[in-house]
Amino acid sequence: MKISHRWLARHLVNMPGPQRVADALLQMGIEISAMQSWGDSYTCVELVEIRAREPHPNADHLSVVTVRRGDGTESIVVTGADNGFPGDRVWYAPPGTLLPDGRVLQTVLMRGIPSPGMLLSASELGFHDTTGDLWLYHGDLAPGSVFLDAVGGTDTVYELELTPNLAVFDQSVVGIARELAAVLHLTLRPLAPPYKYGDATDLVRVQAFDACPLYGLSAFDVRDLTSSPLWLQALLLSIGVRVIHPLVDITNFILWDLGQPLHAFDRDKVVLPIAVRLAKPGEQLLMLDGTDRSLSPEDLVIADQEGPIALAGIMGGQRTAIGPSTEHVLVESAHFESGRIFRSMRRHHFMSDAALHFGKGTDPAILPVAAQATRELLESFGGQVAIGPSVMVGSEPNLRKIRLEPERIRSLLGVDWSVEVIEDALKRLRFHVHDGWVTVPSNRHDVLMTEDLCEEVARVLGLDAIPVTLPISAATPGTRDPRVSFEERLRDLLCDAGYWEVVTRPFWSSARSILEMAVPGETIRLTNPLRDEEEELRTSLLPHVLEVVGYNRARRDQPISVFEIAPVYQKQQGKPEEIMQLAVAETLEEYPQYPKGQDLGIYRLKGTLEWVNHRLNLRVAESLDAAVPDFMHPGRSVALVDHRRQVVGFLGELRPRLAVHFHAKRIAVLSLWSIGVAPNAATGIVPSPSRYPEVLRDLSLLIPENTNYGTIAAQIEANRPNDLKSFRLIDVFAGEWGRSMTVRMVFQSREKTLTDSEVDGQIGLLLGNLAQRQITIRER
Amino acid sequence: MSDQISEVGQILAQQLATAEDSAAVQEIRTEWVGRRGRITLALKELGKLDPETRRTQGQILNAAREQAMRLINQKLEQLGRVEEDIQLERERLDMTIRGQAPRVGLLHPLTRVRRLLEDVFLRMGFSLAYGPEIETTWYNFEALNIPEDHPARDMQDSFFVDVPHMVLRTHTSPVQIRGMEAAQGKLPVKIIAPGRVYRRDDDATHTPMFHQIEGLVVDRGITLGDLKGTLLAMTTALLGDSIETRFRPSYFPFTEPSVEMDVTCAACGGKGCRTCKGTGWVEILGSGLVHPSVLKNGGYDPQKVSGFAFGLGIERLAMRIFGLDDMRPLYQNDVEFLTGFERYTGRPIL
Repeated sequence: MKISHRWLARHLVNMPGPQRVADALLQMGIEISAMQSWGDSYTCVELVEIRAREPHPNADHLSVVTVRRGDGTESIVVTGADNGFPGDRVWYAPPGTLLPDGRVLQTVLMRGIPSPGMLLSASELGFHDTTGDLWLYHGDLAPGSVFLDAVGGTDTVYELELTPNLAVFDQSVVGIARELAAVLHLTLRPLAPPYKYGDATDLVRVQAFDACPLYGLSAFDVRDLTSSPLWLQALLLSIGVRVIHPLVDITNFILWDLGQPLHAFDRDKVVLPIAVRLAKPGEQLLMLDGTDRSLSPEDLVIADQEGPIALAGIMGGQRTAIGPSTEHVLVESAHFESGRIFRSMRRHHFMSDAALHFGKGTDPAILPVAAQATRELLESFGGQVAIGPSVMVGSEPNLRKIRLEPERIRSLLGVDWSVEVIEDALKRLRFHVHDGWVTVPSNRHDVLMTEDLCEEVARVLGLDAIPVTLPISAATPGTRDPRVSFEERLRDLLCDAGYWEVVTRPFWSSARSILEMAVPGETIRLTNPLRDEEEELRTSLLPHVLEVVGYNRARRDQPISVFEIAPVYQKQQGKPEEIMQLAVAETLEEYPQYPKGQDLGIYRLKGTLEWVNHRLNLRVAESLDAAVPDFMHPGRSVALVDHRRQVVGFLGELRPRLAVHFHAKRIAVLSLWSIGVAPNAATGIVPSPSRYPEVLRDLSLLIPENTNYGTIAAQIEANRPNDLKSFRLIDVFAGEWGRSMTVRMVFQSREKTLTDSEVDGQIGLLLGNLAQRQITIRER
Repeated sequence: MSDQISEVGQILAQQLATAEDSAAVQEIRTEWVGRRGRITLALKELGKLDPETRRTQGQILNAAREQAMRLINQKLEQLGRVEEDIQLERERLDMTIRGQAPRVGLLHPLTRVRRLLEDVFLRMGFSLAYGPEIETTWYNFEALNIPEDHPARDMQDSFFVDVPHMVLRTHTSPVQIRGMEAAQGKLPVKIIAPGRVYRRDDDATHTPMFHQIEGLVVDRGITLGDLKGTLLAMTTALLGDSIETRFRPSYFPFTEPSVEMDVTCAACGGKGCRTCKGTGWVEILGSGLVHPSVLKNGGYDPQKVSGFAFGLGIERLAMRIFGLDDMRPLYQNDVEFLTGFERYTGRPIL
């Protein structure tokens, strides 16, 4: 909301400077997002007197005008205006003037005659223009005065940010003035007295008192109203409101001055009496902005005998709109139930300044004041004004009362302020305190209970006045969630293993899918996505992580290893589920780098999984029995199962033709679903080291076709020699004779130094068992 | 006797002096003390002598052998050093070439800042709490005092999903209700709830998904002063002692009174710039005393207990800590950008 400093000053005695205003408003919870000066360009615009006027020698529609300026010099200016003759006083903008429309004036050649700057019309100065000609001045200022003097000087315009609770009562100049008065101990100037409504009860029938507790209508006959006075135009212009017509200007002025929206009907177009009622199904209303609205019984309307003439509190209709020739006016000043107006505004996706006020809540007590202010302004505009019949229907709602609980206020705020201090703070905000009860002002629909009074007291006295303390509570140790801690450990280990954590957004669209994934549940869709490619919630994390690979690879030819641990979403029997997943992706090409890195291929990622599995007791194992998705390399991937042999993911290389989509030749991926189920890492007993030496034996085993290392390892495990400490594959070799694998076995006893014959004996037994699986020792 | 020894010594020393490498020394060793060396053979001959001569001759020969061994070893050691130098010179590497960095990854900056916050609050005795991202409209709105036509609902543009009465949570505040429900009336309730939240906004300082951390304390006699103290302790821990803070009245439907906290703008140090719209301050969090209706919805009696709550954006704080002016790169996951966060930031936990 924009607000003018000069306008504020109309309500306050001893108006403080802009910085004090800004500080005080901030204390009250009103942020000033911008502070701008208004009227600076008007300092260049000067009042001059026309001395002579000649037709332009080269153009029929132009004239050459000689003006006398304030310093006695004369300037010759070319104008296209039809008025402006010797003796007239007009506004002259010399070269260099910045006009409100953004033009900077220069000396231009007009059909051969140089014209320094120009003589101005009202619209060129941004003001209400009734003729389109030069703006003749009839006031008291002497020639040489600047235009700024005519509008009362420069102004400071504040751009305020009002939170919804403050918008209930602060969307007006008087509202802000009252805040300033409260915090800075200033005196408010009295408002106009209430309008003395007549008893023309035949004018209005209110049929919906719940929605419209109070409805005032007053008739005025006006003639010869040409334009609003300059001071009023200047104030409206300073906050960005267009000046249109005196009647419209008055309603706009009172809307922003008092926060009371008014509506003016052309009485000659209204078929009386007016009814305030709910709309009938199917009723239509052609609005002032040209839109046609279909109304429903939830809408409150102002109607005459022919149908709706306004959507109450939001906007009037075209049929009864006032125009330049309107002489008989009906001015509505009403109080509507804010919720109904807010809902109508929402339903019709329709905003107006009036709706923004009524929708938040207006002050029923200001309603007759606004009517009186209308009358006073009309009478001050220089035209003829006659007061017609008027009526106010309904009654002001009772004022809310809250019991004053100073002790509770003190204990909530953590202060030791006395009752007098608390009462004084409330009184400064126009609350009445009497006999232990607080009476809430008629416009403070936001104040319902003691906690609200706390806020008011804290606002007036300042949050800085509240002492800083720490809660005194029983000392309770903070706890972490074991499931989340587990995920955090997983993150740490993956980082330690050389993978970068990424964070992606879960929005997805099947149109983005490159991988075909089967999902157990049903996809959850957004009903209002920001864009088509984000219309659903992901059911798998891997595609997002692969997109990160693609994003990076498209930018630079570097290897990349990334992972994310994040939820995926699905519906099961109509209920949303969030499941934590792990996805890892890593490019596998070799890159020119120094010192030369070692490309382990898929085994690096596999080793990482095995390491993490070991460290965290994930209890994930590879399974050759379960299928891997079709987008995986069939020869270089394996399904992963949990300790219950349920498939929980897969590990391997992406099919190279799919890797190309992510700008890579080969990509290793790991996808693990439901990582939250793993139990805590096992601790158990850590064995002390043996004091006896190790014995190493490398066994080169000849293996049958189609036997993999897993089979050999399983056989060794199944027939594990007593003193075998560990074993690992150290070489794979293929020749004409077949294929061999060399396994390095480490023997060690906890009781004694092993002799060669003891180790040989144990190996002999193992070889005997391996032989049954056609695994024999290699002879050559 | 000693004459004979010194004579052997002289001959040996001459021989050794001309030896140029350890191979030549080895030849000399063979000549004198090898298996068929001169001294060795002479020692073997001793057995043929009478006992008296054998004793004196044996002493002489052994002393000569000892001396020969010493001289040879001395020479070998001396040559070994030279040869080592030559060998090591051949192994010379370009020590100005950059080493190979250990292959480690890095946590995402948002994870790091989240953990930093969690750490600060855990030390203050807060426990971590969580709630679902796909939340019921009751927990996300109604329970937090935001009814259907409440003006505050136009402040939060929500994502709705194709599950009735469900919404992508617009804030972590629903965890206030869930946290109170989980505590089942016990006191104190002292939780923080980090998590992902969603709003229909997308520009340099807003992203449709972002992270918040919610705090809630409910106990007997909790005051607005306690809120101020807790938040000041947090900002000091996060941003240092020198940071200035300011509290302003604000509005949230689920707190009353509501308070926002500003800190000195990092971009200009408080002088006023584009980042802080010329004010010198940037808002970092919203907070307030828990609204009585919210306490009731969580199963607590507002006449007996009070509480405070606060919520802050992890992205905002990350931008502040790392000096970012755009939020979007945090979600683009350009590894080169993420690498920029490797450097030590002065806060050990990061």
